[in-house]
Amino acid sequence: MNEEITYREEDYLRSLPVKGGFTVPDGYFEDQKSRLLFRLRQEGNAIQGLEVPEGYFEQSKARILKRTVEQPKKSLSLVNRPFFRYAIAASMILVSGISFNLLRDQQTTTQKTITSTDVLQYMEVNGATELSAAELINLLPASAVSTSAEENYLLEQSDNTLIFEEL
Amino acid sequence: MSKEEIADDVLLRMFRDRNTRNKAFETILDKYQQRVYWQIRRMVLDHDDADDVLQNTFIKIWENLERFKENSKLYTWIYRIATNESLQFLNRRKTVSIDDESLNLAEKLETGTYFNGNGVELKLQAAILQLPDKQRLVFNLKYYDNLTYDEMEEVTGTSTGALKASYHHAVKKIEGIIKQDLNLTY
Repeated sequence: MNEEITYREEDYLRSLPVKGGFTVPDGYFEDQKSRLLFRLRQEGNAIQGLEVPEGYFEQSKARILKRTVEQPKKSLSLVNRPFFRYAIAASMILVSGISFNLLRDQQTTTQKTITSTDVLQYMEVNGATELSAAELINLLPASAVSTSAEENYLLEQSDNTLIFEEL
Repeated sequence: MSKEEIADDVLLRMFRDRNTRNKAFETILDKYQQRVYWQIRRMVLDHDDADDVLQNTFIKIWENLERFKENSKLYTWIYRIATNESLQFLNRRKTVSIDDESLNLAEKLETGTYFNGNGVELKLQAAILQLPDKQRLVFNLKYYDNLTYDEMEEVTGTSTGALKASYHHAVKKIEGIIKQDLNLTY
């Protein structure tokens, strides 16, 4: 057992004869006290009454070393590095943004390129001419056919009496 | 030259070199483990608790030593970590049972497996236990570890004047408690 020494340096010093014709070198007691304290500390006997299990410090040292110097170094893979994580997040936002814009442009392009004229032409080519212009126009959503397109178409087809009759 | 005699600045240089880091840490452990243990033990009293706090203290030292700026001595820096860990441990325990904390510590002292002190020593420890944690820390650092006030200032971050006052009050309180307990008149 690593036991506490049960006296203090003052007790020790008090137990020494104070006088009696003998003298001591200057500073002897201060030096003695320092050396005694140093020894007490070195032996780990710095507290009264408390003790530790036998072999404790060796075991404790081994456990600390196991949790520190013997611990396998954490090798951060590239994806686990903070900078790389931020880079991934930034890239994803960038890609999402670009994709969104491209998609939106594509949709806009589709809407722009398919005009009412195109639809009518397509239907004409594919034999839909049996329907009257008015029917055709009615079939299209209002937003898809501009007024000017309607007018142009009707003017182009002005020789078609049937159309005028139906209108 | 024994491990304990290697100067701290040499140990720090060794620690900063990856090739000698492990050896340096082991030497620091040999040099300070027991002193730090007793410092912690006096605060938490129970051996198992002291063991936990000691482990945490040295793990923190391992993790932070590379960033140690040498504004203070190595051992006062180590003491400071041990002190913080001890106080944090006591605070955590107080949140569980704030009223019974002193009683718990006193009971641990009396019933503890690793206490072999006599009646007077038990009374002294019981009196020390009645001090507030920070005053107890100041008393222990001065009385048991024999640190200078300058060193204590580095460890606790408290001014020398405040430390002197704190130690004076602690001694007076302990003296009063023991006198009252033993019914002694001087």
